Amino acid sequence: MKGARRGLRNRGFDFDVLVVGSGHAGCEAAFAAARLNMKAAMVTMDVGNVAGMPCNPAIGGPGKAQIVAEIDALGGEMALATDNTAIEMRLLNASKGPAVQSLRAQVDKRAYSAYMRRRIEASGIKLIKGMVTEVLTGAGKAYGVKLEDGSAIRARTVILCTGVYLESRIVIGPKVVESGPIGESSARGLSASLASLGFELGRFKTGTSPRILKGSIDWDQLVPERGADKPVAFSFMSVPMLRSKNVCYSAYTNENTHEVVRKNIDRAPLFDGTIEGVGPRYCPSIEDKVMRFPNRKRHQLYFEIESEESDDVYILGLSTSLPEDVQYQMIYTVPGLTKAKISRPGYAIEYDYLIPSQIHPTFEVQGISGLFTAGQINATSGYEEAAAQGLLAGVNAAMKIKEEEPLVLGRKEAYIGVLLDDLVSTVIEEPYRMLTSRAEHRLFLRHSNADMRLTPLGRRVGLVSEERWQAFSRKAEFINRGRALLEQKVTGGAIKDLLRSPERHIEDFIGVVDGLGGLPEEVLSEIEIEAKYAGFIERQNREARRLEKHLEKKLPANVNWRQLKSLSRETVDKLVRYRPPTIGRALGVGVSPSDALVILAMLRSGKLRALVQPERAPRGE
Amino acid sequence: MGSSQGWFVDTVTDTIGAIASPVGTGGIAIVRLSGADALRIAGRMIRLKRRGSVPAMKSWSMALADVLDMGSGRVVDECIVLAMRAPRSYTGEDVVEIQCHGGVVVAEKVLSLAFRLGTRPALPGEFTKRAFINGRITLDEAEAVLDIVTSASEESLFQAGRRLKGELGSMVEKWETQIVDLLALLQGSIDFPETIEADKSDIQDLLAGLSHDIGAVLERAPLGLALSQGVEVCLVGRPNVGKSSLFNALLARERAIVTDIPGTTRDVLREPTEWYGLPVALLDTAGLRETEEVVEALGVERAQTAAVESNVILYVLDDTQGIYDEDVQWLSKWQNRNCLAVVTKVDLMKQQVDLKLLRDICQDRWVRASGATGFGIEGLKKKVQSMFASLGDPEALAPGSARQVDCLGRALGEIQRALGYLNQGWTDDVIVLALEEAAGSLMELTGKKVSGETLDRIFSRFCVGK
Repeated sequence: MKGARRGLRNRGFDFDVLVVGSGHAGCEAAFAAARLNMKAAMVTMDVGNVAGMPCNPAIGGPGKAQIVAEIDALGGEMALATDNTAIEMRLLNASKGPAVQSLRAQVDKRAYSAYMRRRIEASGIKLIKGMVTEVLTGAGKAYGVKLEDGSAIRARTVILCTGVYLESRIVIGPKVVESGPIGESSARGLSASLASLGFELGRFKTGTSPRILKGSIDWDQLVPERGADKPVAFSFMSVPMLRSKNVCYSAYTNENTHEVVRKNIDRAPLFDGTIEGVGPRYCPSIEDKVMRFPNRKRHQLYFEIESEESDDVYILGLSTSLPEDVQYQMIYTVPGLTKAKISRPGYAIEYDYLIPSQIHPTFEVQGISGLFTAGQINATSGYEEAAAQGLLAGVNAAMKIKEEEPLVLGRKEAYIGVLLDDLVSTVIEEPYRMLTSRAEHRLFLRHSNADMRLTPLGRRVGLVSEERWQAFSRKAEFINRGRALLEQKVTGGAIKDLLRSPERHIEDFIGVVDGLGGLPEEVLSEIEIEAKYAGFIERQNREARRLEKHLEKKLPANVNWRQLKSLSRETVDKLVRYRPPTIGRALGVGVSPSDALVILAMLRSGKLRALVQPERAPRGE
Repeated sequence: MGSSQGWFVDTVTDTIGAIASPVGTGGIAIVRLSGADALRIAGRMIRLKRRGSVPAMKSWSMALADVLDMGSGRVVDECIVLAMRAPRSYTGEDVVEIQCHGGVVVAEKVLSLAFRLGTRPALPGEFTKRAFINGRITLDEAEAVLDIVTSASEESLFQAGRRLKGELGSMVEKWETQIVDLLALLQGSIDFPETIEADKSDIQDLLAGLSHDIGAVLERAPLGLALSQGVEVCLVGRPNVGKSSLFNALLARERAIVTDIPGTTRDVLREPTEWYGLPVALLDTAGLRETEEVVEALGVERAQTAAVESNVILYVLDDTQGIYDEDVQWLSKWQNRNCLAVVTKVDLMKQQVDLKLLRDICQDRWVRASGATGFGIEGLKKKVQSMFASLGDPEALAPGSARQVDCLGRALGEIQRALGYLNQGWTDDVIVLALEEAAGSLMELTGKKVSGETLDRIFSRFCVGK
């Protein structure tokens, strides 16, 4: 705290990277900065609430699990924390194809938080209690934050990971409380500070369901849900384990439940105008479901035990902001819950977010150098989406300080790249959640190859530890060996071509080809998927293949792309926004191959050099 | 630049094709193919009259040949083939030019044969782009062309949209809806496995039905329909301002009945003609006025519809009457369309039309003419023709309808691919990919985005989420 009190006069900085908020974005941001040898600190209103889970105690799911794997491949913490604190894991979409298979873990949320807390301490990240009310800026640069008590913390870079706390209010029926989730304080002042810097803010709504006490449920009336029947893990560094403890149960609502909703709909804040923020379509409240799908006779509910150290059970599928007495009436209609006790009612929460078209793909905001935002403040939703942004913001804050090239991922490289691109280049109309349908290259963006896709990149930046790099290199060598073996010809052709049929599997060839049997199981599975999907991925990438030789060709910085009339406007927008340093990165951020060829020719003719312009002046001051 | 020639040649592999001659029904239309496979593809669809084959032709040589429809084995056209080998060609790649005798309609047919053999429709300006990439022309030269192409391609997009009205338009939308519904079901069950369960029993039938329907339309689709029907040019104006005599003069024959009685023309008359190579469908319409008479009122309504739906509006003003308030209203209303004011009866020297006012409304988009003497008629034709010629690079405009056929063809191919995957037992992630491509091909015609549409459909049809 001494650093924090030094005050404005001191020209020195207290920290290199100051993270505001201790949620999933904040944690990964601070870890990444610390890993890159930055002096990092985290300011939070509640130091007891690190990496909390105000919604369901689960990590992963379609699209999200891939993000967690990518965070892991880049040296992040989320996957390890999940593996260490999971009480059950399920493999979703097992029959729908390896690309969309997604792990989903139910974690012990208290253990998860404690794990992250320990990691923060072990990483030398300073945890500071306080409410940030203002970002301190001068000459277009952020240099710290001001706290509610008037003190200031000076830092070279500031990363705002404020989640749903900005000017938030909680709504339960007629009760409207200016507060954050779980009775915490709402963050006041920061919205105004951002607005005064010229940023446009929007307002979203989200919500959660009531928690009920473990002991008040008649568990025999609920159906236990089985976990994965084979050993699984999120992290490439974890040993896969069998985790199926029957900690998840299901049940259904019924006509009586729906009748309760309909009878009380005039008391629903979502319908009487109390709530104005836009909520996510993929996470509708029970009142929404009942009113929008009147023909549905029942809706499924899942019951997840939040922690071994807590009596709370989360009800997935019953998000609501109806008054507490109505919540009780609803719950009583479900078999097994006739005597249930609510420990915390469901609620809706409204909060401010920064319209994300105002951020760079590095998560630095436009116009204020050194100020970054990550997580729900950028209009997203979900722990995984937040963590991914935190990681990149943390890296890029460090890169900024080191004056090195930022880390930006493209749509073809990672789900995180899809997230990033969608945030900065499309209009976000509801809290953004990752879905596999958003990723056009989903056959390539698999959980299983996230390390092959991203670990070398993470290593180059400095995020990947020696231990991880060694493990990665071993696996990469096995994979190369396996790929070479699949080139071998057997009756009918090369094995890799035979594997393109959905009926053939790599096991069929283990006896046939020497050396195949000696490869680790995950390597066998991976090279089979590669071979199986090769044709489809080639189809998608046929354009880009022509440019393979030229991927490393450097593009000059600060080209005034807008002067080029022969490129499509979409391409020019991408070039201006992402400033790709090479042709390969240009393709990565979505420049079409035919435009990339034109750019190459311009590079060769010297035209690009002629278009280099001096850096533009920053926003304001 | 010459020294680095060939730097990129090996990087551009696919073969593109388009009609390379200007729009029109002139005697000869040229189909150009460029790319590594141009000679081979041409060889499969062209039989030389003497001996040898296209792939064996010397560079910069030509030959008389027949274009064959591989399906029916019939001769489509007699043509002259010109072969140019890389790097000595416009694009720097292997280029084949096929000069078709039958004009644009036949050229469209020839082009569609090339598409079937693996040629891809050239994007607007793509030949020029390749010429630049391969070091055949300088950047300045390339930009001059590409600049025009960019604006022209917007125009051709607009036209592609126009053609999709009516029956075909509603069919394409129906197919699109069916595919997106299917995508929502399959993708939805992947993204929300806990709440959406895909009932896949009908998928096979649905895909087979789609495949049949699209195939049937593709067979029926008369190639180059729009171009062979010509650009629609519509004469409109108040009653008795001389539309019909102008109509006759522009056709150079007596087609419309010309009287002094206002309201003589009741229905819309339509006549094909050709102005300096541009195929034109000329429309004569009833005079625009308030009327109690039922038949005439119907004619007036049709006149307005015809004007709005045409490619060019010729708004006729009578030099013996001057500009009325309603004229100003109509001209202002249509000024953002291709609307040209025509001052008629100028031979009578009344000069009632206030040219200053006309300039204010129409800028330079007006001409003076006389149906009676023929004064200004050729100038008017040229002016209309130049409105289309000025769209520039014909490769951007000509294959419009072949492009549409190509979109449908690709959609059909992807649907059949999806069916194949389904039968072979591929997983949903792969089937979805083919369906997304199918939807994407159809959406090139309707201007939507696959992922957005699919998500909207998932959320509107299914009750998902926690």
